[in-house]
Amino acid sequence: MRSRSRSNRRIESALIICVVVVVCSLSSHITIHLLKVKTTYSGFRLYGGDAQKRLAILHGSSLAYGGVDWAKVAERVGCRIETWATPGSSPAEWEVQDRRRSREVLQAFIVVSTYDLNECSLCDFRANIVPLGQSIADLWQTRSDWPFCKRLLSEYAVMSIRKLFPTVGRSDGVMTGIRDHLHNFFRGRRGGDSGESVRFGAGGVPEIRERLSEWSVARLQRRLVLMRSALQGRHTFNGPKKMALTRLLQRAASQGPVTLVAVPVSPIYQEEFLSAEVKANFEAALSELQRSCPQANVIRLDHIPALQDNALFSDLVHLNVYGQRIATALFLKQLHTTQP
Amino acid sequence: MIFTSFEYVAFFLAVLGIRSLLHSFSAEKWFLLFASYMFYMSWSIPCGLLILATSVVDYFVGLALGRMQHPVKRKWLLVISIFANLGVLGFFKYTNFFLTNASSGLSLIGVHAPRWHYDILLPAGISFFTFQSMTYTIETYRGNLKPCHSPRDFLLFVAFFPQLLAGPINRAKDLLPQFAQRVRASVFDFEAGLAQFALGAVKKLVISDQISPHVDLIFSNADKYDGFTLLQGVLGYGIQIYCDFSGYSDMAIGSARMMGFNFMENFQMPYSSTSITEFWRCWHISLSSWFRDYLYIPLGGNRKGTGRTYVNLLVTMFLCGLWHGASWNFVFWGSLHGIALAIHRIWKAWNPLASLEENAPFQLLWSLLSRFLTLSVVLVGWIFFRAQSWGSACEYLQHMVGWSSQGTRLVSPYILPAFVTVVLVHFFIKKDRNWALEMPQRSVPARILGYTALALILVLLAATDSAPFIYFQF
Repeated sequence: MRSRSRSNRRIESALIICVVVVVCSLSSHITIHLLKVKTTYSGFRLYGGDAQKRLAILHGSSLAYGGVDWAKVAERVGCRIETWATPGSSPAEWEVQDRRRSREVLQAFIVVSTYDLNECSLCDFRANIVPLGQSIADLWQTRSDWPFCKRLLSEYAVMSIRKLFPTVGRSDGVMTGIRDHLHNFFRGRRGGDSGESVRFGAGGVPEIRERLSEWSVARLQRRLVLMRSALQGRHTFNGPKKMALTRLLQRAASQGPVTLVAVPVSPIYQEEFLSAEVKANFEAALSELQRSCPQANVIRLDHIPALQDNALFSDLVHLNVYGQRIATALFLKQLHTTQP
Repeated sequence: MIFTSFEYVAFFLAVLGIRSLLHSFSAEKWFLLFASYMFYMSWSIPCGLLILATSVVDYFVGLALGRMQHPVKRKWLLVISIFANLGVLGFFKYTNFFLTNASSGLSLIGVHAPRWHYDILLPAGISFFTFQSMTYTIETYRGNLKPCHSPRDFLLFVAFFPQLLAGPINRAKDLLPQFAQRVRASVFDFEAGLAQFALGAVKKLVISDQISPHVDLIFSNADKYDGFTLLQGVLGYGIQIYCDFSGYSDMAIGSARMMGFNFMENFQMPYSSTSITEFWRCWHISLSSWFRDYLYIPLGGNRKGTGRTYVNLLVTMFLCGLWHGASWNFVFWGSLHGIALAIHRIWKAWNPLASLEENAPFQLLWSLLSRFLTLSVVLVGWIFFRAQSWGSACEYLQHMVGWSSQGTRLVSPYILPAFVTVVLVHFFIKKDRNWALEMPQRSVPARILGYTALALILVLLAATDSAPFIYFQF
């Protein structure tokens, strides 16, 4: 009798767990759908879309496709420029995406910054793109410390859990989504804090007109808090991302001309996160990359004084349309002087 | 390996799985001991040897206490144990504090002393496992506990992984007997343990970890913010430290319960306390009761006159502050609570409002006022607990109390909602209720509803990266 009651209790508990998992899973999927939280990484952009033209590839994150007007670059180099538009991506993801590409390209542009190359800034979709074996091998080869290894490998566990509960690890997206919905509900218009005024100009180039210099102090502080938390207050440049970038550069160089572009981050970001030591480490990492791939043409937009202005950034790391215009002009000028 | 990591979940599932396959009780205990040391040594292997060393000393002291009848020799044995435990604690935790203060003291009297400082690694959980181990030798000395003859059981008592890093500080007389007979978690225990673990995870990941970057920001640049923002900072820290530590305790207690072991509760809605005395009965119960039983009462407690009682309270809370950290901020924090406890005792003895105690409206008003006063004292104490230095704590307090309008006003979207939520929960739920133990007794729909709500909060709002638990640094 007692064992029967124990058995019933077990069945009851198992049933409860199943119901809780199913309800939570459904709710998580519905929340993602309702709040429009981004869960997919696949994106594709094409600049200078004439099918007859030769193909060039752009490897970069949103800092790349927001920082330079690639339609103009495509026109200048006489190529179509393709890019995977994966938000927050870094060389680790670009390398895998590049390997999956079947067509040969004639020219490659690789855009990096102190933000992208920071090993502590992990792409939300890293585990979806980079195979686990590759991550383990890179961590092993770069002798990464155990806390970082745990953090990076946890992404794979999160990826598996997200199949059931897609909101896991996306609390910022959920909170922002809820806040935007509440703003819409109560005010009938979009809240000013969360959205940048994005417009797309000719050729699908985003035109963000917002200026970091006009942000309220409170908003800036909140964003810095989030950024510091995401980066865990650290900047390192000597790990799997650098290793992936080295391989990517060498592979691109073996196929044709390759241009490595370093784009700037805002002066506020620099003051807050980039100490002299961090900057020196970044320079050392870039020098090492240049040595490992001497054929690469390096363009340093991050060293241009005209771009060291918070009014030219839409947030802590992205250039706005005004910054983009200056950066594009300078980039084309340097491209002209450094390329035949 | 912190409780909120995938690593711990995998480790814990492996422990549960392997333990269920072991048929021999002895093998089961050896396995739990091995797992506990593995858990601890994932931080540092030498620190694992340190626990082993202090445990061995206490084990032999306990055995000797069992054999020895001579009171003076018994006292010397106890002194050896206390010296070994507090010596280790003192060396690792307080060496630099004492050296720095000695150097400053010598400078004050005109003697030029170098700034001594040694790089000493503080072993995780040292304040907890030394205190837990001491409960065994003290109780054995007092004759309340028979010596433990099994070295394996004793080592497991000190190093049992769910309580190793930040408590609860279990008493030897409660935990050791649980290793003497085979315990298996019932379905009820497992469900209650899982619910408590999940509740702890919500407190840590959804409240504490979401608030902590905002609190850190305010405390790191206190001079840049106005009074309202500084008030948010201290409210936020009050919530953060409560949710962090009580969340940790819930996860520790839940982990143990899922294996069939019972730990003492560590928190009972402390922020709804009507006095500072009640606060200390509900906050970090395993530590406050340790200080009561092994320091305050042996010092004489309240049995040696009014003046001595106040001195005992002050000494106990001074040392409680020092236990938390080697810094004058912690000492001041402890002393502040000691003074508040003494004032409350004086007030109780005087009680000028005794005639109004039967009046219902007065009772309500008094209850609200006393809660507000208690919470205010606790929050002021947290400023000193959290600030980096004595100077920055004073500056923070000055700007906040002065309600300075200069500086930026930052309205955190997390702090105020979290504060309101936690305070409402504290005010409307009785202190002695235990949600995790009550839930498995309820109907199936009620359990589904309760667990779904908990899981949904976790799935939707848990922070992406979990910060280390605050009490790990102690």
